[in-house]
Amino acid sequence: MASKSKSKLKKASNVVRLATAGVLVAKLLADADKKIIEKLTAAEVAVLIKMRKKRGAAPKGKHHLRPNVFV
Amino acid sequence: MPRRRECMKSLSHSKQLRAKIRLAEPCLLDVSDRFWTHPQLAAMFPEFLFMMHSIIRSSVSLINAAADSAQRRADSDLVSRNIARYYATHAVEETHHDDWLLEDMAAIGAERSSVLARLPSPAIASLVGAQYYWALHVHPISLFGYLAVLEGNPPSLKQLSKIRTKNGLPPEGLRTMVKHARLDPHHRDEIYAQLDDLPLTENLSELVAISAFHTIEHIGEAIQEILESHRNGRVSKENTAQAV
Repeated sequence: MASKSKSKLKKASNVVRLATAGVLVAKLLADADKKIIEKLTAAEVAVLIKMRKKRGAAPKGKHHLRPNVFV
Repeated sequence: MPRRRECMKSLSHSKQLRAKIRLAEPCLLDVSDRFWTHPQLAAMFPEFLFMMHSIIRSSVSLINAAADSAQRRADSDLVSRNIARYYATHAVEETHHDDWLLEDMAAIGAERSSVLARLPSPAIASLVGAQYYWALHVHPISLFGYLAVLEGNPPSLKQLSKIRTKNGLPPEGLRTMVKHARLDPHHRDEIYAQLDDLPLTENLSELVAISAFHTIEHIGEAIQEILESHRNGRVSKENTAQAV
């Protein structure tokens, strides 16, 4: 069963894969954003999912400060 | 399907990169928020300046290394030919920014020799080291991802003023940040304008995005380390005294 659902995810769209991994909330995306996301390469999607797993989800609805990093 | 391709084709490289960065950024924004709104920010602020110095001390040599790599490829690669010129100019623009930070740190009580002798976090070595690898061994366009993140979200003067007042930070400690609040919007616009002029392949666009994601991840890690050091009591009481 596990491998079946894994292969299902492999075939899923980028939006579905990223939403399943908690990187984004699909229903909040505009169509234009979805189009951009579907254009992401497999490597880009993989890195985004890995980052999310490592750093955890960001709290929603918070007014963020900018990172304030610079070179 | 052809319609979709046409729509994507019309998106500029800079818009695509911004959209990709937005997907990765929440993790960094979260840790950044926790840092800048921390009730004991003043105690951690010298550590933040040290982290920034650890990054900035490498800027000119890193950009020059990317410029050299681009120059070596310039005869056979149009992208490299264009970015070699841009990097050479940008390296000059970044010169002495590390000295500005050292001066700010000295103004709030840190000794220049101690700052230079202290070991930077491995997160910073990973952040900067990866850029050398990509620039030298893959393609020097990679540095655009790094620069887009680091120069893409400069602090505003209003934000800095609010943070300084709220936390009682000495103005001398924020001089470099204030200068960057003025300079980086211009640098950011240059980076994106330059990117839009390049004939990027899908591979190169991917490399720029992966480089940006890596930058976000390791900057987040470095800020997280400062927060954890503070929680574990490793940010010393002397830092509090230096900062206020």
